[in-house]
Amino acid sequence: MKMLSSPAASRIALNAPLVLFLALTLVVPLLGIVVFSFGAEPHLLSNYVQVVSSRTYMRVIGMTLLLGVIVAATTTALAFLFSLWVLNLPKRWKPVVIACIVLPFFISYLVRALSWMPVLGFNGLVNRSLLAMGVIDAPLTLIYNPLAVVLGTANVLFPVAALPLLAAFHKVDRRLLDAAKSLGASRWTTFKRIFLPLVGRATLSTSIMVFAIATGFYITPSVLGGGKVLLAPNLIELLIHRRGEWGSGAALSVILLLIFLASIALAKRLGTPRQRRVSR
Amino acid sequence: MTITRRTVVKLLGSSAFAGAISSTLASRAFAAASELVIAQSGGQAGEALEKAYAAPFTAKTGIPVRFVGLESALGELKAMLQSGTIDRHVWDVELADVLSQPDLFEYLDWDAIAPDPIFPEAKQPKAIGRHYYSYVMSWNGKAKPISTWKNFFDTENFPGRRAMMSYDAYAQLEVALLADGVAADKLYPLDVDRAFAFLEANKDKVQVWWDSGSQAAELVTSGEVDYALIYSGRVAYSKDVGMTYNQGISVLNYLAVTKGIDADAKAAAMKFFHEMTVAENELKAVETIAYSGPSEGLDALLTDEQRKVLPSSVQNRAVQVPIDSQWWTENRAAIDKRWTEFRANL
Repeated sequence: MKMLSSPAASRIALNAPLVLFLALTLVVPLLGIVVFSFGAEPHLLSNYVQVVSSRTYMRVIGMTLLLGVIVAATTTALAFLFSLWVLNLPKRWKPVVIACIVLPFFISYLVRALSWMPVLGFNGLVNRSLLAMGVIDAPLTLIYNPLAVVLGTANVLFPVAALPLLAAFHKVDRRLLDAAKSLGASRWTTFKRIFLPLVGRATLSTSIMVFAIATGFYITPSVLGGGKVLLAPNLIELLIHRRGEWGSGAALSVILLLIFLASIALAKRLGTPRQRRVSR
Repeated sequence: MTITRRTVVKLLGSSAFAGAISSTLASRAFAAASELVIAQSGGQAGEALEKAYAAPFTAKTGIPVRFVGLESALGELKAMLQSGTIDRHVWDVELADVLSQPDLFEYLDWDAIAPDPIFPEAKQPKAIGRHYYSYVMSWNGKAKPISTWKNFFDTENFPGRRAMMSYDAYAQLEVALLADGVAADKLYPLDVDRAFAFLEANKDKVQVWWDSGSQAAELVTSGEVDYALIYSGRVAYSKDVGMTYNQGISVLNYLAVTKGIDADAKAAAMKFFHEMTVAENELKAVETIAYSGPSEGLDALLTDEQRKVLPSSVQNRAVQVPIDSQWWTENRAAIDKRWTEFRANL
């Protein structure tokens, strides 16, 4: 094991399996998609022209991004409040609460999407109760609309947002908050001027992550949208899987990827605190 | 046949051979082909293929049949041919696939198949009919039964929620035109504008556009919707859901052979296809799934109950509308585009 004695060599050796794995499972297929996205006839970019010039495709992309932003904002906001609540819980209750939100991870996305049906479906618990109580005459359309897609996606992604926020909140040095209070700051001022800046970046990166996962969601929109909410992942599935139109499907994927990378870059820029001058 | 390193590796890799490598090696010298590999979409239909046709085929020829999964026949077949290694011989296809990409498929040798009597549409130059399925109307046990597509869209006399297929205009344009009053024998060439106009005007009657046959079955069985357009096999054997073949859009599913496979594999495939034309074997298939084959002799073997629920019984053939694969082959690309637009505006 002499080779591993030098730290640089050991770093390479230890990371090699991961790098290889990512190269094979992520980079190579991604390059494949890029290759597929270039058309032969009538010109190299014809698939891109087809996507960009189609009002339908652009509307689908717009809807996907809009729902992604809404899901990211609501999920992160709820997870933020939740994490604040957990932060102030007595120590012995924390593991219980965290276990409760981690538990749904073990249930498949499909099951979690489908399980809204017996609750919110036409024949579901809510509608049947309301009908029985005479509040309504006909079942309400509670699912099979964009709102249900937001609800279902936010529900699935809540633990994804809550866990990193919880970690970030618990890393905040409480003595800083105590110091602010001892200097006469109100609770709100302490929160705004001390706590928020300390967790701001984590919150932003969490919301970007939620946005990323949400815009790639396929099963939830399919089930809870009742086929009426056509989002980009479902359109890509329709093009590639059902029709074998690799070119336009791949071009749509690449465009989404670019939009997505751009939004991350933008969010990162916005999230970087301006350098304070050391002396005034 | 020489045993190369590759065949040995393949042999060792297959657990089916593990127990009897030596005897298999011996019989391989005589067997025409080492195995027949069939790519098919799986599920109960795959199980039926295995029990009804692969079993008698292997019993007669000694050639094992291996089934592999399939998502999209054309895409995977093209990729396989490009890779230069033929590892799948027979494909589960729609006739439109074969008609639109004939270069991917081998001509069948109908003399070698020597079929028992089958319906003429099952005998194509490059494909053989496997089983019929149908796009039919179905209803939840609590809903009022319907018998026409006109009823399906008539929410006044038949109140309730509806479900249709989200991902394809295939067969649904026919449904729209029949509902709009076009006579079954005047359907083709389809009046596409009229079909889309009808769907546009009636789309709000449809609450759910399903993404898979299993979802469709779940919706109508649970009562989440009262009426659903659905694949016949999903509900034909169901006790809780009503359905009729009346005005069902009938589709014959086919098997076809990879272009350029070696003569041994092709000969094996033809023998396998012969088994698919035998009425008794088709009877075995419908024990597993409610999709029946193209044998002309099958009807005589069926019980009355089976005649009622199987798509290729004489009585049900009479009331369905066969889809025109040739028309769809010529028009699909344009319609797919239009369907995407329609769907994005639901």
